[in-house]
Formats: sequence, C-alpha cells, structure tokens
Amino acid sequence: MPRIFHTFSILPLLGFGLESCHSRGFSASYRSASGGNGGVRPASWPSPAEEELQDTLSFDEWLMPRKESSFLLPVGSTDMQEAGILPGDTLIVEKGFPAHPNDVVVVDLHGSWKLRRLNRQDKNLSSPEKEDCRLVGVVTAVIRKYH
Amino acid sequence: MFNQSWPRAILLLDGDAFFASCEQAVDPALLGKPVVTGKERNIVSAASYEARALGITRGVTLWDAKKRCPQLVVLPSDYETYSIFSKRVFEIMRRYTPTVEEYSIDEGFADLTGLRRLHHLNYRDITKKMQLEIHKELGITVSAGLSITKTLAKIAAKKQKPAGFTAISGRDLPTALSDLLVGDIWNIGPSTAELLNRFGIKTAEQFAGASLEQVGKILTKPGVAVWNEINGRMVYPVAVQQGAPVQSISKMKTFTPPSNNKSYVYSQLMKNLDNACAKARRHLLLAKKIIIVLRKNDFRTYGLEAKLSRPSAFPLELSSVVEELFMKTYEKDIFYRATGVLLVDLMGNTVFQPSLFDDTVKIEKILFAYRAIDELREKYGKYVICQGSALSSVVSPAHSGGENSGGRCAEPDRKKRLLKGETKRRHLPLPLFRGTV
Repeated sequence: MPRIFHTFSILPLLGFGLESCHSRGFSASYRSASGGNGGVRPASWPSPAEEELQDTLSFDEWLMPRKESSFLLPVGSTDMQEAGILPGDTLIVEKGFPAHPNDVVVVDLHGSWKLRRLNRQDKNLSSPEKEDCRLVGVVTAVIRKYH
Repeated sequence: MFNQSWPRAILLLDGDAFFASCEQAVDPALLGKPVVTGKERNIVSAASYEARALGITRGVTLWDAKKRCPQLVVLPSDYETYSIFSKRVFEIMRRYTPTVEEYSIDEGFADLTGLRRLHHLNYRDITKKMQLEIHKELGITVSAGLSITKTLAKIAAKKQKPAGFTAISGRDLPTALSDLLVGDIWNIGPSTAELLNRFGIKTAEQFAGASLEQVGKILTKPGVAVWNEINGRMVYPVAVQQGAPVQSISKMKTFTPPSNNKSYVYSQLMKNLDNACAKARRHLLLAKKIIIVLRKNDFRTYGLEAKLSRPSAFPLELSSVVEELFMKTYEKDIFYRATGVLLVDLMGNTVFQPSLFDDTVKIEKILFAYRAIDELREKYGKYVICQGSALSSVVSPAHSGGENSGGRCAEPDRKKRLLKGETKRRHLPLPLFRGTV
C-alpha cells in the first residue's frame, strides 16, 4: 500500500519506531524524501524479500563453514580418480579437525603430500602423529571450474 | 606488590618468525629448512628459526646471508598470504574474547579479564588453547605473554620464543623485570633509555621502583605512562577496532638498483604520492601536512615537510608542493635508494570547506576526476593510471617484475600460480598450498 509522507511527518514517526514497520525501510524513505525538491516522495512498505533472504548461505559459507582453517590445494595426480577427483580440480582442505573413516584426507608421507581415503584401520591417523604418515588435513570439498 | 595475581589479564600473541612461518605452513618442502623472505628487496625481512640458528637475522643483505648459508631458501614476500594468516590468528583469538586488538600483522592483544568462568579454564589454559588451535589449524606457532598490562604482556611475550608462554602476574611484579634493560621496554626509545641511564636507571626493575616524583622530573607524559604500565597500572586499554585508527599515511618504497637519475627518483616519489593519496581517499581522509623523504644509498635519510593551505588528498594539487620540497632536498650525483611520502594531520573529508580564495569550480572538477581515477584503480589495479611524472617508475623495466630488480623471479608464487577464474591481481582469499597432490 503506497503512502505519502511529508518530510516533517516522518521524523516523529522514526522516533517512535513503529512496531509494524522495519526501521530500515523508513530511514530509506526518509532519505529519499529529504533529498528531493519539495520534500514529498512516496514511501512504500519495504519488500519482505530482503528480510527473507537473511537466512541464506553465501557460497563462501557453504563451501567453508570453518574458513579460518581452510586451505586450497590443486590436484595434479589421478590417485583419487575413483573418488571423482581429477587433475585440475581444486580441493578445499581443512586443517586441525578430526578425520573420520571414509574421509578423503591429505597425508604427508615421508615429506611428500598424497591423497588417501581413510578406512577403519587408519582410525588413529586422526591423531596427528603416526610414525611416517602425518595427517595434513581433511578434504571437505572438490571444486571443478570449467570457465 | 599486588595482593591479587590477576586484577586484569592482558594477553599478547606474537607470531614466531611470522613471514617465514607462513611460507613453511603452505609449503611442506620448506619445513625444517632455513628459509628467509625479502627477495624483492635483497634484504632478509624474516628468517625462519632454522635460518636464525645459522646466524641469519633480519636486515642482513641476501648476499651475506647466502654466503653464510648456501643452502638457504630465499623467497619473495607474499604479503597477501601473510595477511590472510594474520587475520586468521585474530579470528581464533576472537573465539575466546571479543576484545582483540590487531596491533600489527603478527601481534595481537586480547583482554581475557573475567573470562575464566565462561571457559571453565584459567588464563594460562585459555592462552594455551589458543596457541594449540593456531598451531593445529594454521600450521604456524605464536608466542604468548600474559600479564596485567599491555606493556608487561609485551615484555612477557619476548621472554620465550618460539611457541613460548610466559606469564607475569601481579605478584611476580618487581622481580620479573630484573633482567630487562629499560631500552627493551615497549615505547621506550633509545634516547629515552639513554636519558634514564644517565640518572642511574638501567634495568626495568629500577625504572619500576623509581618514585613518581623522580620519573615525572625526567620524563614527559608518555614516559610516565610506561612507568605506570610496568608497575601494573593499566594506561593503554586493549583497543578493539581492527587496526589502529589511521593517524598518518606513509608510502615508502625502496628501488633497486639505487639511482642518481633525478627524474627517476622524482618519479618514484610521485608514485608514492599517488599511492598515499589513494589510501587517504579510500579512508575518506584529507591531509593538512605533507612530508617527503629521500633515502640515500648509505641509508641516511632526509625529509622536508610542508603545511597545506587547504587539506587535500589529490596529487594534482599536491604535486607542485612535492616538487618544491624535492628540489630543496635532492642533491646532484648522489645515489638514492628509497623515497617516501607521508600524509599527516589527517581529517575526515566530509567537512570539506574551500576557503574564500579557492577556485571552487576547479576543486569540483578535481574531485570529479579523482572519483573516476579511484574507480579505474579499483577495477584495473593501482598502476593503471598515475601522474605523468610518476610514469617512469611504473613503466621502467625495473618495475615489470613487481617492484624491483629481482624481476619475475621476485614475484611471490601466489601471483604466478593462478586458479581458474583468478586474475593476476585478484585471488581467492585463502592460502594456496604450494605443490599439488
């Protein structure tokens, strides 16, 4: 429902902070009202779309729920072809979180990094040190970008 | 001295050989090896602990370092990656307290006062947990200093490195300072230290034990603040805003090889003016005073300052001032290695008041031009447009490899290894592991 406000009538309304309105929508309409010539502008109710979209995830959040401990690692080998990981892919590797059986992980084997899938026997890999094989991180996503 | 051990709990986390540690964290092949950064400047800017064990310290020339240790790994600085690690360290600190001050790229203060019950841990264990998480999730180590003021936390953090933890509680107070010289206290410069020495105050413990009357007579207000701080009385609170408020903007760049070519040195200065002004505009600031600095090849540095009749952040207006200052400072046939521009006395650009005698139409035009210039720089990189007089610094062969003589090989790896969709200038904000799997 479109409504007409005069600039001077909006100021007191803002002060009250009408319960049924979003203060954001109001301050926006106030700005447009004061910016114009003559001071009269239609001020509509804010679209609910903005509010509804508060609870969506960004691609960043979706790919990296723990961004502080996520790293990028390019794939060069076909070691994990059977898991659908191909040369040219980019992995998101998370450090410092425990690995679970069946996870694809990056391990440090005598100083060189390899991709492995954890099976049940490897369980103690999730504790960081194990003789010549050290867990670097867990692969949490595989990205294949075509363009 | 204090009847309470922890009237406050102030923590400083300090990265261990931070730049070199970041390089080791993204490249498994560098673990355990002597690594230094600073290839683009031909000077060691950070040395890993393995390199330090071989006697290589910050500031040594690469030539000397290589001579001392032929197997040394020398890397160009990759500030983008270091900045990402830096932000992550602060994020991990914020898991425990919202009061975190990003003091520098590798140092952060946190106020832990009153958080023991929330975390069911004492202050030492909160700190240890932060250190452990940083190590596990980032692959770098930090040293911790825990005390009751920032100055004391800073002293504590230096005591044990790397991955150290030192606490100075209120009860430890005077004795914990016995082996420290006054000159090693944070915010006590060499000349203040010398002054104190002349009055017989040599160690931090002696300084702390001096009376207010005595200290007040020798030192000015900032010095008395330090005296209070090392006596456990807080003067500097942990300032939460990210990074210090911008009080001055400086752009100082070394160019190699050093040059005695007047127009080249001048163009370097102009490039710094361009960049300093762009930063000021980005922060919506104008400067009331400008300082130019020329550094000779023997590291002797000369500067001149000028007060501006009207605050500005526009090279078009400032270049004539800078040229005048340059002409007064520059000496013929002398080799220079660096130039710098400092903008000081900054104020917000929102209250922009041209004086009666200013040509307001011209000012409007300048503002308009710089809006366009800033948009161009934002979109295509900072060297896409510059003052004509800065041109030779930007297009000279020395520039093509980033900044200096190292050329392409002095460019960090991150600039050369691009993921699909990344450009040379814009990368994903995550550290990229070196190598592939």
